[in-house]
Amino acid sequence: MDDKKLILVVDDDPDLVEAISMKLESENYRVAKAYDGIQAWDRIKRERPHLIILDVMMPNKNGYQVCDELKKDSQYSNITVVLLTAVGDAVTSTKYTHMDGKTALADEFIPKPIDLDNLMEIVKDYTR
Amino acid sequence: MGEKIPMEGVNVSPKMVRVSVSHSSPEGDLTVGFLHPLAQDRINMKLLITEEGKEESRVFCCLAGADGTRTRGLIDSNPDLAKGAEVHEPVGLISIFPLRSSLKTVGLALIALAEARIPVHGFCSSLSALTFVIDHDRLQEALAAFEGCFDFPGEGPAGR
Repeated sequence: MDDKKLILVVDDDPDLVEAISMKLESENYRVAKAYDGIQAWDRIKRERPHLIILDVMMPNKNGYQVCDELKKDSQYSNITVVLLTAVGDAVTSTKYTHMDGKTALADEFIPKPIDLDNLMEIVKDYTR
Repeated sequence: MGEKIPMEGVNVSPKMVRVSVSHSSPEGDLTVGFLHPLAQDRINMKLLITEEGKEESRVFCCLAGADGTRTRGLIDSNPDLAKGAEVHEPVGLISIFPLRSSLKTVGLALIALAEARIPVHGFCSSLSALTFVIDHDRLQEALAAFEGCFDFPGEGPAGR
């Protein structure tokens, strides 16, 4: 049995998914990838990750919705969720607001652009 | 047709504006005259290609369709810039991933677009994706052409 912790990376930007995945793999984590909220749920049910790095702005189902559903489902609510937020100064127009973020039940929030070293510290903290 | 190459996904963009600007003055002029005002106006670029030659520098970029008018105004306000500028819309981006540095993937994608007679305005690769700039109204045809040579996951990723 592989005892490496499984991290699910969810973002509709494949380059960002790839960059985060490479960093996680170099730190000895297993990685699953998804590119929208629906794919994310499919991965969560099939692979049950230890932690999810979840983008907010995605097609089909956004990160807030995925996080909300997950944290309200007793089967999955103990999975750590790190939300990647790009709402505010970095985005000129968006339908999402900081208020959505404040009411989301994520365990951690990281603003975009991401500091990969900071993200890794958070992942390590939650997967010890 | 050989075996299809498995891919993790495909992204299709909404309507965008393709802008190409060239300038014969010393390098750096396009940065000051074009890219800096874009940044000041908070106009995001989805894709950017720059080229610095001995006699000419060029910028090729794609912006959100909603930013087209502001960008045209910005270019028109600078006669030096307007001389070598071309604005084309609507275009769209279609990205397939992961690329894994595979020249076969690049070749198959180009052949698929050529056989479908879809003009390519530009293409580029990145860490994970291979992206083509084409006319927006040909995106669905391009998607169908790619489905002939690549296997995409059943549950469509972004934009499908």
